[in-house]
Amino acid sequence: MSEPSRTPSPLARTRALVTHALGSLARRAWRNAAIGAGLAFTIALFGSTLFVVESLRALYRRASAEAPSLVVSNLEGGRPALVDPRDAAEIEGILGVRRVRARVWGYVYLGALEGNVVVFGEAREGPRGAVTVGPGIARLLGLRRGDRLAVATATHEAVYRVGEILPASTALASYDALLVDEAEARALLGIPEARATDLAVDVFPEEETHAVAEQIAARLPARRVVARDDLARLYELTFDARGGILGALLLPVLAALLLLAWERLSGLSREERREIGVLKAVGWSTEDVLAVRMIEAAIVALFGTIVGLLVAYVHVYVFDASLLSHVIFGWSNLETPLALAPATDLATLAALVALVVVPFTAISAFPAWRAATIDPDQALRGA
Amino acid sequence: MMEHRLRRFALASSILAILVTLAWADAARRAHVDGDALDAFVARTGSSELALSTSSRWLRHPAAAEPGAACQDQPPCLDVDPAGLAVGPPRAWFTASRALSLRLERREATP
Repeated sequence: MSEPSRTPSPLARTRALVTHALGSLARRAWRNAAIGAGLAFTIALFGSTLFVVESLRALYRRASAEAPSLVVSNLEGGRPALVDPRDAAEIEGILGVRRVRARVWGYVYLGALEGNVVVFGEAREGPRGAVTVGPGIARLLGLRRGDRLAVATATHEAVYRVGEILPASTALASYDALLVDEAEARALLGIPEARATDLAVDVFPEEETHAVAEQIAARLPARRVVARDDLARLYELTFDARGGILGALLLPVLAALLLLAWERLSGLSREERREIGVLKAVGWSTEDVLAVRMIEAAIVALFGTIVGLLVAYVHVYVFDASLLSHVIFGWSNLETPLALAPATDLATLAALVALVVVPFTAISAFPAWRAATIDPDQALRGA
Repeated sequence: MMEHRLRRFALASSILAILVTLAWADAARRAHVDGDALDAFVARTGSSELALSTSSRWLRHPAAAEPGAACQDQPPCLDVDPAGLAVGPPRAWFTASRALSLRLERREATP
């Protein structure tokens, strides 16, 4: 009959190490809770920024899919000016142009809101007196369907009946919008019949957009042509820049967390030194002690990361990023609530983990190695 | 004692797993918001620009704004819509600026 092996199975060994690590965490619960809370706080700050930026990026991609391929505006003396709708005929003659719309839109100062709203003119049939209002204007002025809305500019005064309130799901594009009959828009904005704000050009196939833009620029040299791609790039850069600035501002928070972790994890108490000494005296190897310390750090990192991501999620999507929206976008008179839809992918989460958790784990490794290489004799003597 | 610790760890992990699952389900629900209304608004107006900074025209419609016109709405201000500013200026500034514009308009209109 052979002697039973004294070497535990890998599973039993891992289980024993995890159990010991849990006991060690419990014995220093407050210290580990402080490190975990610091990690969760840092993850929540960085995570909130990433969630907001990614959601806005996805929202803009969605919105831009329906936008015109090109917008042609007029420049006079290097400044935006009204376009001549006769330019539309010139553009329509270019191969690939499917449709050209002369748009009438502009800004009107609403005294009741102490801010500018955007007035869009649209071709309508029937009476001119109805207005479609964006959800922000409706909310701030307490408007409901059928109510009356007075709008006055330097050249025109009118009282409209609220015919439609745009749904809240469009708020991030329509919050400050007023849609009226085109003739009313011209009267409010002071745009004569022979002029328009700009021309919206639809191109088919889409691949021809830049070729068409070049032809427009060649035929109408004084016009500014903005392609949908250019605008999308501008928004991407804006979101990246704002998110990046905030991320850079948060770097000291990350540095403070790493410093805290280093200070807390590297300072071994007398009790900890004695504990490690006993473990090594009863046969634990340096690898075992190192593994226990790394398991402790991994458990704190795992729980801190998940709690931080959950806090970031609730902050951004339940509370509309109320703590960060001002910091990212500044203030605004008609402040649009950031009712965003989640759009974060695993790559973004991986980037967040790489930014915060990897340095945290790395900084835990050295104190763990130092603890694991303690001489048991010296540790037990209290040296 | 060992079993007790493992059970507590498993319980804490399970609670976190449940919270993550709930957040995941909530994310899936929110991701299916009514995007058709947004599409319809953009198709109707031809404008896909976002209303994130409604006070400032060059941020409300960057494609249409005069290049470099950071002060076109509030001439006395250096930067009227800075990111990173958590607290905005007093709202009375808008009224004051509007009053200034009106005075200038009247002065120009006076023969």
